[in-house]
Amino acid sequence: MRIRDYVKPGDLSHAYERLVGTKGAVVMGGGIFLRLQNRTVPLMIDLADLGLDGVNITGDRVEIGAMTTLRQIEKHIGLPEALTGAMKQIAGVSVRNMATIGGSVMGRYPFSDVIPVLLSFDTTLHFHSSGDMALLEYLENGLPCCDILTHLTFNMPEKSAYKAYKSIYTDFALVNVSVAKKDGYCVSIGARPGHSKCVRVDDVDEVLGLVDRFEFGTDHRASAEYRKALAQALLEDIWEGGESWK
Amino acid sequence: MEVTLIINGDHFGFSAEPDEVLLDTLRKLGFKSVKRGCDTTSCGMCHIIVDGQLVPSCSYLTVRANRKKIVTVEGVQEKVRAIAEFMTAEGVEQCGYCSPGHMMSLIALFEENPKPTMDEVKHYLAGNMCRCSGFEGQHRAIAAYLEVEQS
Repeated sequence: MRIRDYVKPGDLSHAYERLVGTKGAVVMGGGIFLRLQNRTVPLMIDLADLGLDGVNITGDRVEIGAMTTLRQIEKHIGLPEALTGAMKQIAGVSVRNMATIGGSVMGRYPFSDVIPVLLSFDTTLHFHSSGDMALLEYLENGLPCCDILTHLTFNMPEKSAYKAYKSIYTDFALVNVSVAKKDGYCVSIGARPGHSKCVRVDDVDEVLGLVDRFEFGTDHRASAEYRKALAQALLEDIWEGGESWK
Repeated sequence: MEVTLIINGDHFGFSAEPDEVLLDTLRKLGFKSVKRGCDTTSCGMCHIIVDGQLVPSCSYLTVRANRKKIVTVEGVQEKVRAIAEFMTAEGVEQCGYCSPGHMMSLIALFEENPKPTMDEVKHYLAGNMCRCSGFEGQHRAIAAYLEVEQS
């Protein structure tokens, strides 16, 4: 990626003004994918000095700043295990020290380990200008205009679990599954290889049959049939001793 | 853009392009322990420590690092030498190209967790590739080092 100009604002409003005022400007979270993009950016707006990092838990409500790194989340003892566990095999520690949860979400990466978990938690995204948006809506429709994600929130699930199948320890998942219990059960499956989707049911006995309600695709990494079989196995693995989920 | 970096305790002031990364900057300044591998954050060859955090220098913008404290192998030679003796004893090194990045990961790990288990070591080093050794010798060497350090 070629960058013509760079700013690191100390004020969110200033960052937003530069974003909407410069055609083609982009914001930078962790900057992990800088070397993987072949384009020229007129202005890179670094969000590192806006104080958008940190985790705040008040009662059941969890608020995570968009610039919180994946490593900070991995090491946080108050967050649900599904979320901290999903971080552990994302590339190496050095990448997790840089990559941010905001960057992971805003990229809408289909291979994401983060998004299926947040989706199963029914996460809400909070933007500086556009206000609030459900993660599911953002995944499906994106944003109508450029904006800056400031933080995301969800209510703590009663119980949650995450499993992924990876050929190599730190590789992208061939498929991943997250389950959360909170006003019923939400199962989300990512890397299908399309972006994550979730299905919600009230009855615990329906959970194991939910894989049939997802579409799976074939790419150079795995076939649709293989992904579906893996997803079913991961879900059954999570569900072992399912009594505790009731 | 004017940038000041504090590298291994010394201040360096210079002008950098907005898209210059620390890997290129550090090598230009003579810190040749920082190696270029995949150039896409996947291999760990270019690992350095910025403000106490292990990061891949191939994707860290130099302008972002302005006024930050950077540590490379050149700045922690005594610590590295102590670990390297165990690596040598196990016959780990072949081409040695991955060693500086590997050492920086270990230095960062021991700062964060002075008494890691071998599972924690393996988890921490998962982002460091080595195409010669197969990792087993490195793990034996680290286990031996930790045994001596912790006794």
